[in-house]
Amino acid sequence: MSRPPGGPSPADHDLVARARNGDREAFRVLVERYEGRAYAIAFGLVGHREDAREIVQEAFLKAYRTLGGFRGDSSFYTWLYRIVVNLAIDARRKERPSPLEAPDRLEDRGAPSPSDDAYRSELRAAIMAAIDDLPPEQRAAIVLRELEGLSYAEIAEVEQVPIGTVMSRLFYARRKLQSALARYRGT
Amino acid sequence: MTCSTVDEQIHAYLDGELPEPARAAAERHLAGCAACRERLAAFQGLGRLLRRELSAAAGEPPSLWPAIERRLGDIAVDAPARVPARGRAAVGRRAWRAVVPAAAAAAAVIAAVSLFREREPAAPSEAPAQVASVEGGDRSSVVLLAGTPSEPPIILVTETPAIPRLSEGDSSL
Repeated sequence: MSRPPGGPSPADHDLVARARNGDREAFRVLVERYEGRAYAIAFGLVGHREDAREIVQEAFLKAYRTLGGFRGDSSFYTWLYRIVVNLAIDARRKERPSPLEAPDRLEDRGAPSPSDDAYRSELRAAIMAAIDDLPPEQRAAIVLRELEGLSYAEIAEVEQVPIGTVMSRLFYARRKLQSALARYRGT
Repeated sequence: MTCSTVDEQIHAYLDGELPEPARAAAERHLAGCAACRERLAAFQGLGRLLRRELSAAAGEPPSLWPAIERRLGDIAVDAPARVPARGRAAVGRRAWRAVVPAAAAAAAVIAAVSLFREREPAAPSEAPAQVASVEGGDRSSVVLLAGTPSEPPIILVTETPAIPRLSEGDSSL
């Protein structure tokens, strides 16, 4: 998993400073730099594409409004991810037909048999259900680590807890997921 | 290193967060312990499974800027810290206007404390500091720490922070 670009040109902190002064072009660069990662996190937490898109939009709007309160003590992306995580946890996963059965991605895998489709759908539904069963703070930790590859220190920043707490959350989240997904092991 | 030690450290090892020399010790143990290697492989497989399936289920990352730009509309950045150079004097005057009633409130508190001290016997020296808080004008407030009888009172004229904190309005995790 690629690391969030901390020092590209222009740097995040320069863009934040410009956006804070009303430069929407600078904010556009920040949106395009982080929307994909923010979306992956939101999707991992809510399991629905439309909801995830809406959450990311809301998160950027909220970030824009509150840029004045961003003091730069943390990186912009951990600050943004915190907003995403909070919104996603608030939204919860809604009762909808599972997006995991969407056929478009399955076709990308090369002539899957009907049984493969069924199996893949079941697997994805099981993964989302297992993630959904985790307490919100563990769900956030595992998504930030496994999907986004954040370090323990970065997860601690997002969740605003000590690193030891992050380690504990990952430990329990993995143990529960492993138990819930044991029958799919090796797939 | 024992299996139970590796078990405790296996997540940090897996995540590249185990510092030396513990990392080297864990690797030595893993090299000779099939059971621990199997546990490690299981967690690695779990991570791969989550990344692969969630990434596929999420689909292509969206391009959200057009929608965000529309919704930004006339939204302005809350900019408590940004003060144009030509506006500093005016802000200074506003701040001073806020301090005046606060200072008056502070004087009232001092007078009250002085009166109280004249009428009451001295408290034991280990008595906790007395704290009074008085709302001043605008965003200011006065906090008076009367301290102990042997310590002079401390008066703080504070201004309520105008900068919103991230935690405001966000649910705690």
